[in-house]
Amino acid sequence: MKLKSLIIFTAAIFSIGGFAVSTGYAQGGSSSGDRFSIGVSARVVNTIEMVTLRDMQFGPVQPGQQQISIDPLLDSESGKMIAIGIPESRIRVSFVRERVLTSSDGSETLTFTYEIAGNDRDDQSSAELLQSDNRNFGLNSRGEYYFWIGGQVNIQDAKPGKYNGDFTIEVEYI
Amino acid sequence: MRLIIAILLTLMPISGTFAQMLAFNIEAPPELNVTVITDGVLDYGNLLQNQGLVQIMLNNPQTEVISIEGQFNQNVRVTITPPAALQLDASNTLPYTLGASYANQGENNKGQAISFNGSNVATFRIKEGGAPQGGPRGGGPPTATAYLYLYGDITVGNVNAGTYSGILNIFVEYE
Repeated sequence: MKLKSLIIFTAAIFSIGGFAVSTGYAQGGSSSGDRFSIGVSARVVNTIEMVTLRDMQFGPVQPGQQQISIDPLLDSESGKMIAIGIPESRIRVSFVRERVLTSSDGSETLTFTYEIAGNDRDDQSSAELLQSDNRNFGLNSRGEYYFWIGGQVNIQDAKPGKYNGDFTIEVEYI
Repeated sequence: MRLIIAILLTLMPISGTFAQMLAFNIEAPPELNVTVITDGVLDYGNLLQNQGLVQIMLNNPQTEVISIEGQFNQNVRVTITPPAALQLDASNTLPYTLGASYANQGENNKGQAISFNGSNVATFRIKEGGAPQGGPRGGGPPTATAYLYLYGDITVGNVNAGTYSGILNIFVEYE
């Protein structure tokens, strides 16, 4: 397309100019051009939003297994959440370390001990383990803070069945 | 009598055919090579309802950077068509004001950037300050690279939560 435009321009010079002598080079006039786009985006949130990016993944429990353990700093099976709020603001994080899991028929319980790692970067390996008491953290420049959720549960005396539970984490502005 | 003949000869048009060979070499400048150096999204991140004015300034890391490579001594015209607002839907919008600058001293250097001054169009020489060292293979005028910086302001009012988006359309051409 650009080459075609150049040829048309050259022919016009010869036709209009006739035998008149033109000095110097004609430059410019090429239709060279480039069209492109840049996206613009923003995410508006209410106050602080907690978004679950991934639930904890438990593999099948083997007979004789005594404990299920997920390291929030190392294991890819850990759960992942993100807090979204005002960029650079300070937040307080608290959570209940121990939660009771109940079997689907309601007859059995297990106690799950949570371990949480947090980071203002989306980088599990450099996250720090959080204590269950309140701590002060800062949302990053994008207004984000990441959590990886793991923990342990002793299943030595557990009866076969499906156990369900939840995890509560509280995040608030300071 | 001789004098009259001499005058007549002088006034008579001199007839004759003259030819001149003509050869043009019209050179086109090399094609513009425009590259988005950054991620291609001017991202304001997470914002709160009623947060008000939110700015991405020239020197902020979120600023989008585009390189424009072309013949160093040519002028280019950059025309930007910004969205009036980022949109979630028809009734939820964030008004957007374009910010744009260019640097044409051969470096990707925001400190050398010249603002579009509120306009959506700017015309500038690809490289000010003389020809760059070297040139393209096969001769021809050397090329150089100018840099375009895109940023701007949005205003977050009482709008619904969600992801708002818009498109900046940019056209770069030799003047």
